[in-house]
Amino acid sequence: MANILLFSKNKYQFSDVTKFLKQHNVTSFDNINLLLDFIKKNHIDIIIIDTCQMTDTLSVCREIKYSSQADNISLILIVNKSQNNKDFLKYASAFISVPIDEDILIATINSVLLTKNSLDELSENNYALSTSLYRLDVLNKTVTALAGSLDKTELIKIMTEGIEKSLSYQLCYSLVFNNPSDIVLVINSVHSISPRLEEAIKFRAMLSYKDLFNITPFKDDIKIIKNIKRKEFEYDLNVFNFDTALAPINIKNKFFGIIEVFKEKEFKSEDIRWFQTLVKQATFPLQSAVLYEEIKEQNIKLEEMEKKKSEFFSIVSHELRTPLTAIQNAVKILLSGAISAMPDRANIFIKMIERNSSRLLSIIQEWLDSVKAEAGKLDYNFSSAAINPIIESVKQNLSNLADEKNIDFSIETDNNLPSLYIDTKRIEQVVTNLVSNALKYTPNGGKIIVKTKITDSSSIKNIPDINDNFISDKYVVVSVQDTGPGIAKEDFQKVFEKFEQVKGTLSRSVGGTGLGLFIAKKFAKVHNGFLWLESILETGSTFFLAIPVLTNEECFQMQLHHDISNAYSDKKSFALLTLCENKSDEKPYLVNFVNKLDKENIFKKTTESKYFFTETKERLYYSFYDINMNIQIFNFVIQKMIDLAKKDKYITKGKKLYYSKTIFPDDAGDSENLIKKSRKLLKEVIND
Amino acid sequence: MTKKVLIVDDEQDIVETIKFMLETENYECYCAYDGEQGLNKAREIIPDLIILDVMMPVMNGYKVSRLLKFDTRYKDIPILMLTARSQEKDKQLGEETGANEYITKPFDINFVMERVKSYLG
Repeated sequence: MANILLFSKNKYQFSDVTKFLKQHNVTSFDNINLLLDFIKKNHIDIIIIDTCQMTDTLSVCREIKYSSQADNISLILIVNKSQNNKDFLKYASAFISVPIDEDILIATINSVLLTKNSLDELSENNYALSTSLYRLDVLNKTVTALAGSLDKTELIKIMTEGIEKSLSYQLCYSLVFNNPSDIVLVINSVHSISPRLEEAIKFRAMLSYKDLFNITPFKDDIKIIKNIKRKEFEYDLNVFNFDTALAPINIKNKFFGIIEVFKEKEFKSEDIRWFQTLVKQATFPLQSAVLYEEIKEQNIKLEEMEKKKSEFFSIVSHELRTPLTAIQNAVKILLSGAISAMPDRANIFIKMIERNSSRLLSIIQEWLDSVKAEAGKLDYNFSSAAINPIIESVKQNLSNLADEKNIDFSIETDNNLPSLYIDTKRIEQVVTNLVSNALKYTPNGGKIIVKTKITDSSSIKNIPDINDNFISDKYVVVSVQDTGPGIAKEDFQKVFEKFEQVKGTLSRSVGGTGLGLFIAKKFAKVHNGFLWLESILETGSTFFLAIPVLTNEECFQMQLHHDISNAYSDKKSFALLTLCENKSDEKPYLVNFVNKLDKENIFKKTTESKYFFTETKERLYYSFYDINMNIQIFNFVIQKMIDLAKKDKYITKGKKLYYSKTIFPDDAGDSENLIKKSRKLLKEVIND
Repeated sequence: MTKKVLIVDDEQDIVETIKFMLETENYECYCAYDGEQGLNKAREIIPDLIILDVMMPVMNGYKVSRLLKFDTRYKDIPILMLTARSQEKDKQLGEETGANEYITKPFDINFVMERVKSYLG
């Protein structure tokens, strides 16, 4: 039965239509205002308007159509065939001509009602669809947000927000268990909650928790976080009469939680589904978060272990060196004949002691170096030096060994090599390692040649495993060629690894720690150089060490780079001083320089870095401080400094005009203190 | 008749010290500095006892020991194995290859002498 209004000025129409539609609820009007008023107060399905004796049909239709309640009302017009202007028909769902036929009227009404019902159903579905779409959107956003976090509390918060958006609950609590001493109860509520309710929720949470996981949290351990949206009124225990939905969270038996939602109206089945989906979606990132925390903990432990290992190694090495030194000195006294001339047979054994204790000492040194090199804690002392004297010195030290095995050990050096920017001690160590390796593996009567030459970077570019950046066009290459057994191609990389001797441990071919080449490779890298080998089985191997030829500016850059990396490996923050000789007319240079740095906003990108420059009578200095500064920005600053220096011809060839020193603050993080210390150190430097 | 002892070790200094001690006790000493050399010398001179290092170039001590012990001509020669490898499984491996004694480095030279005497009298 539908609610139908009839609007007509013709009383006969009234009775006719009412009679025909007796199974519907028909109300008649002849006053438009009364009708509009009636629409406002009642639910109406159809309005039938008799237009036959009306002059203002168009405006009546319009008025009804545009009254706010008439959205869902269908209009049926009764028209006279003779009417000329039928514009108003555009407002109608249907029309009937006079005289009115009962069957046609009923059929028309039915058809309009059918259409209307379908439309209603459609709009309802549409509404449900848009709700689902909204929830999907919420789910999507929540999942995205969840993926961006690895913090458990944050994840729970994101999940609760998602639930709130898609379920519009009144109250929601979650109880999460990180570890026995970290249990958090988060209560999200639309309105305030009474203390009584808070206490009740706590107990309810604990009980559900106990039921689900068999864990009884202690009441006092629970930390409560409350998020109240509006505070219009206070919820009390009546909340427990609301409809509720509860979901457990259990991750690897390590992280537990429950989440319960209260809603005044009943949950629909799809609400529960959404709720469960959201909780499930949060489970995956929570799992990652739990794993992440585990890994983090493990990492910290590993780091500590690594640190302890390094410490242990260095302590042991130092402790070993002390008694060894005593042995060596005692032996030297015996050999000197100061006590009495030893019989020849005794001398053999004393020399044996001397030889083996030095060997032990060098093994310990190698050990210590490798531990330090791994931790990036070796100190380097770079300076401009020639390579050939280093080769000569290595030859002198090792020619005895070569003679013992009757090995022909020769050197062929290019005498026109430029000087290199190197740590001479380390490079000597690398060459010594290479040559003593060659000596070890070369059989009696073999041959070893050490060569030096200069080469273009292009000629070493194609060597496998050298894909680093070439910092220079020219390289000095030291090669050590032997007539040993050779190394198989698949072992080329292996020889540079720690504790690796190619043929396997059991058939140990020669003595040694297995660290020599490992360290050598590290040292080569520190010099921005390369270490590689070529080998033919049964014929012999050649090891190559390439060291870049640098300009003065590049040397300067490298020195700064080492200072910085040393600083970084040691402490997280540092200060760098650069000191120049001063001439009165060069003052604007530094002023400009600092101004330029200022202009380019380099310092604003860092949180806490400071710089200043001052002058003395003889020198200008520039200093730069950093607290946890981004290394890239710092490199940029240095590059700028070098560029400017170049332009101003401040760094000229062969004349050392700069000085840089890294200061390691004891208490990193305090920039004021750091500056004070730096000033003090600077004074010392200037007074030098 | 003087007893012949073969010492096989790539560490010359170790060979020297053992040789010195053995010679003071009037044993006749032969030396080899890798596994293959040791094996050849053993076959050539047929010593009364062999002191054998494990980790050596060319051929390791286990292999030398196995080759000798599975050969009826040499299987009765006592072998004292010297090694820096002190793990139980290494010792087991040594015994499996037929070594009579397994002495780990660092060793006491007097102890080695005692063991030699116990075999050779």
